[in-house]
Amino acid sequence: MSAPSSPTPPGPTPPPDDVGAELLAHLMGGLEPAEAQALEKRLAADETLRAQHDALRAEVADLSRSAAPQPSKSGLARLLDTVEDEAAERRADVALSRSPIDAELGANLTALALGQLSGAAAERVERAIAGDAAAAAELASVHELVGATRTALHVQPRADGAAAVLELIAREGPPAVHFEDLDDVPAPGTARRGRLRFLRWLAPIAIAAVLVVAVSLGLGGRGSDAALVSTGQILHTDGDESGAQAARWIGSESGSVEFRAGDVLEAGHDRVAVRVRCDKRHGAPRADQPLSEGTAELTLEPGARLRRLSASHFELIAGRVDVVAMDLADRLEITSNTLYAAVRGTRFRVRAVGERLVVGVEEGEVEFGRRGTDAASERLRAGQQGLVDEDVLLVRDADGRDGGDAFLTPRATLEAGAETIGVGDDLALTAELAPGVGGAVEIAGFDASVPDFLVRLKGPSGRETEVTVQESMIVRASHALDGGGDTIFIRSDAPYRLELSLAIPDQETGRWEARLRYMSYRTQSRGVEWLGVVESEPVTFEVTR
Amino acid sequence: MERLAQGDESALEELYARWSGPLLSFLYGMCRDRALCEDLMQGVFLKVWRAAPRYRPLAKFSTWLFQIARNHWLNEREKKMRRIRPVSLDAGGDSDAPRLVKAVESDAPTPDKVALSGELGDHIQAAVGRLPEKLRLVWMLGASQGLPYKEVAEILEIPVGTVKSRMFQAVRALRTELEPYVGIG
Repeated sequence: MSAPSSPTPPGPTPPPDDVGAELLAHLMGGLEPAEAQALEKRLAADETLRAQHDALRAEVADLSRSAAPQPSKSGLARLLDTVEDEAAERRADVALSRSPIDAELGANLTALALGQLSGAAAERVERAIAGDAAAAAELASVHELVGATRTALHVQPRADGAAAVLELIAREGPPAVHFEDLDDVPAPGTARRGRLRFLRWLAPIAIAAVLVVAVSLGLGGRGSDAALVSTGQILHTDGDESGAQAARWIGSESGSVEFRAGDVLEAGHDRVAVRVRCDKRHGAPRADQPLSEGTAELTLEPGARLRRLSASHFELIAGRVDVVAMDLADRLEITSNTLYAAVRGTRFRVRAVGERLVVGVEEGEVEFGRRGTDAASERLRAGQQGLVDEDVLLVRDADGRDGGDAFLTPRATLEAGAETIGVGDDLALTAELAPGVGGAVEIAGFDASVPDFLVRLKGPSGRETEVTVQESMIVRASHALDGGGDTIFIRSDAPYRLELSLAIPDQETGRWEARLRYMSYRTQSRGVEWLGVVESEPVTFEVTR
Repeated sequence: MERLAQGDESALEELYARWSGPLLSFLYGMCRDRALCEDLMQGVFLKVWRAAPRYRPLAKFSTWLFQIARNHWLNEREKKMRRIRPVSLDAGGDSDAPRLVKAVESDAPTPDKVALSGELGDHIQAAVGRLPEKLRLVWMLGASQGLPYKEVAEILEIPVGTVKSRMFQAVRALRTELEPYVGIG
């Protein structure tokens, strides 16, 4: 590259980026010997390529001689970055290809070493590697590698760092949204507190509600493969390109959205429903009429991401999608890795939760299961719920109570500290949330500002009182209380426990009942998903004079 | 964050005390330039300050914070690349390493390097720096910061399965790089 004061003389047409990258890698010794030889043969035979090679060599030489930073005019800087990362990827691929253990086991071992596996999954990996010296060595080396990296890359902030930041914000003034400068800040979701209040009365009709989408927009633009049938923003990523750069937000006013093989749709802060044809016909189906034969309506919960693989095959990357399919010729499949749910015409919902798939059926019948070496499948009828992961395939009746989810909600228990207490004494209770039949679940820890934990008391006269658990009532907790509702993964060996001390609201003597109620939902990148109210069995105690 | 949204500077100080270490280590793993990392970190906290009124506790604070840090780093790197490119293709270093990488990444000793765990620390830093960006991000968040895969997936907006496989790929690449130096290989 030339300095600004000495313009580059006219030269050969610059090569395309990929050829340029190869030439540059050659100049800098970044090619494997065989690749270098092949390129040299091409150079010998191709005069244009040779001229480009020479020009690039001169440019590199200029750059290396320049003592001061230079503005990049030729794109060489960008090329350098591309080549650097490509070279790094090539090295990583080579390293992976020389691995003594296969990629799947290796990924599991790494996850095990990093403490990322749940109890059952960890045991399964441990069983698989028992007696395998190579795997044991791999495991030990990952431990060592992690420890060494943490030490080597641990950096202490400058002692005056906080003061420097405070000085910056003192100049800045009070917090205010500077929209022009918030490209780096992820979009916020719906206010959780407001959402909870809304959800509490919404809960009894939750499942029905998510399937009802009726805003007609008179849609069906040419060239579109899906019709938007509800309001809300949707992030469309073009399947022909990769990464977020190809993604764009589409407002509901556009009425339709391209949704072709490879494209990904992601719901924003609101639930978004799209209609698609699941046959070979082109164009979006009508959104202002009842679902017709061969079409399906896919409702994405906030944050859900769905990739279309073919006309009737979709990959659920994250979150939950509710499906209504109408008399399909080909079966419609929703997959998540090797897990799947498939139907020809029915009404069901699918959630991808970590590495599990949870399917609930409203109407008809759904086949679900996993593929691969440990393939298994089951059929779910209306009113049933299924969970499948690499270890289990469970079917059970859906928990009808407040639309609660049988697999993703925790199991609540409540224990009284004493069978009898005197009038005026506080009641000691231990509230516990533990995994249910579906294995580890996530909960939101206690947050003083949100009424997630409630104790329902029923007195001898039958009068019921609901007490919202306050921080002042908590004597001891299994997890720190300053997390402000942080997501906590609970396992059978690590439940969430609060020891409480409650004042009985009146002086009525006799037999009392207490139940724990927990508002269960899970957080996602763009919102919260309501899972239902979890209630414990009642615990009884006597109040005496 | 509520206090921060109301302009309470002491809340920012508390956040800084809690998160500056992890954030700086993450940024250092990504760019290996101490001074630049400090600048980037200041930028991240400034963005947190500005965005505080918009923040809603829907996901873990750390997820939001590291998303901002990652985006800020990518954007600043892009801006820097558009503006000025100080490189020296003649940079020294061990002869086994491809010159190209040495040229692009500044290997000049930094004060923190001196304070690190000596030669092995240098080799590890270099090895992490030589990981492809997508593997380095996963490694720095999942292994170095110890975040759950799920959170890493949310921060990077990729599936959990991808985090899992990239983490193993990073392990293999690091082991290969470090093989000559320690028993890690």
